Amino acid sequence: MKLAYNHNKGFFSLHFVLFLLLVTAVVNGYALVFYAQQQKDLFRKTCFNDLPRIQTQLVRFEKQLFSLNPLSSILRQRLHTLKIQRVAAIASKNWPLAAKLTFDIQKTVHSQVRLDHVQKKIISTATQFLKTNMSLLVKNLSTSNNFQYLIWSYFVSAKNKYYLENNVQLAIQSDSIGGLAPNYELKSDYRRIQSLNLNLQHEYLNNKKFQTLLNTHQKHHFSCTVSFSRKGDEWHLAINQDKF
Amino acid sequence: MLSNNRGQVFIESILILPVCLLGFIYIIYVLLFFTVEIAIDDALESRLICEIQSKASCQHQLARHLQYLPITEINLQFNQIGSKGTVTFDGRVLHFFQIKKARSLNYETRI
Repeated sequence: MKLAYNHNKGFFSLHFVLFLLLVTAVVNGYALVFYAQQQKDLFRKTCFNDLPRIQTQLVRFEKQLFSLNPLSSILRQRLHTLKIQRVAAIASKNWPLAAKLTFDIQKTVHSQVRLDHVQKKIISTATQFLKTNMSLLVKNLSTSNNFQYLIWSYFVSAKNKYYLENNVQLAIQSDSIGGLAPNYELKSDYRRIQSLNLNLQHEYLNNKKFQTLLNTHQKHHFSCTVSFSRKGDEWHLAINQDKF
Repeated sequence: MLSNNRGQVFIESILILPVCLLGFIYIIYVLLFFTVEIAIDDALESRLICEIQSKASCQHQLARHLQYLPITEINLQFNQIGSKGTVTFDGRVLHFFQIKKARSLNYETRI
């Protein structure tokens, strides 16, 4: 005791080193917390903003397609009636009427061709929208993830894997009658076929040089599914997010 | 009291030590408070997001999140008007800091 307090040289330096170690441990701890929170926020943002935006637009395309069903039914019914009338006109040898009905049939078929073209255009636009936006989403996730990691890379070492399912399709089919310009309807398991699934395997630990001071290793698995449900005219988003 | 400077540091350390210790403990308390506040924010946000997903166990989920934190005198309220949900939290952290928070989320799932 007497030897130690003969002079006060090095008093501050010694205590400052201990203080610095404490501050480093605290800063490391908070860096891990903030990094984990940022990753979680990025996942939540994708799950509750980006995926629902895509799903909402897909549903709007489907609504647009289904709104053409009444016209498709009218044209079908009209064609059927005209064909019956033409057969009757030919049977009764009413050639002017038969010629007029033939012309009307051609006009109706032409309308069906145009309607079919519009329907297929909506379907191809929706499919293209889905592919483009899913690719863009994957790219943005990767960029954001890398950017966040760059900020905290001095303190944190991480391995993140984002899985976005690529084989999502529009859950629509033509009705049982089929043919040109058919009615379209949802498939029976539309919830599964058109669900957008995102999974994140998030593994992080603090940087090697700080591991003697503070050693931690965390692993989380986040999962998000965005689909929709339909009850009559009411369409609702169905979002399911889980953490394992 | 001192005829020379010997032992000056020792005596000053003894005098300053309680103050430094209290200051140190307070700093640790404040850091813990920030950590708990981040955790509470996250739990409240999870509660609101749970409501969007129409899950049945939202109330229990929030209680489960909060039970691991050093919070006492917890008062939680959840209100929903249409598509807007509001959760209000009132509690005492580490038997010292009082926190009052309210979080709202307006989320329409109808397309």
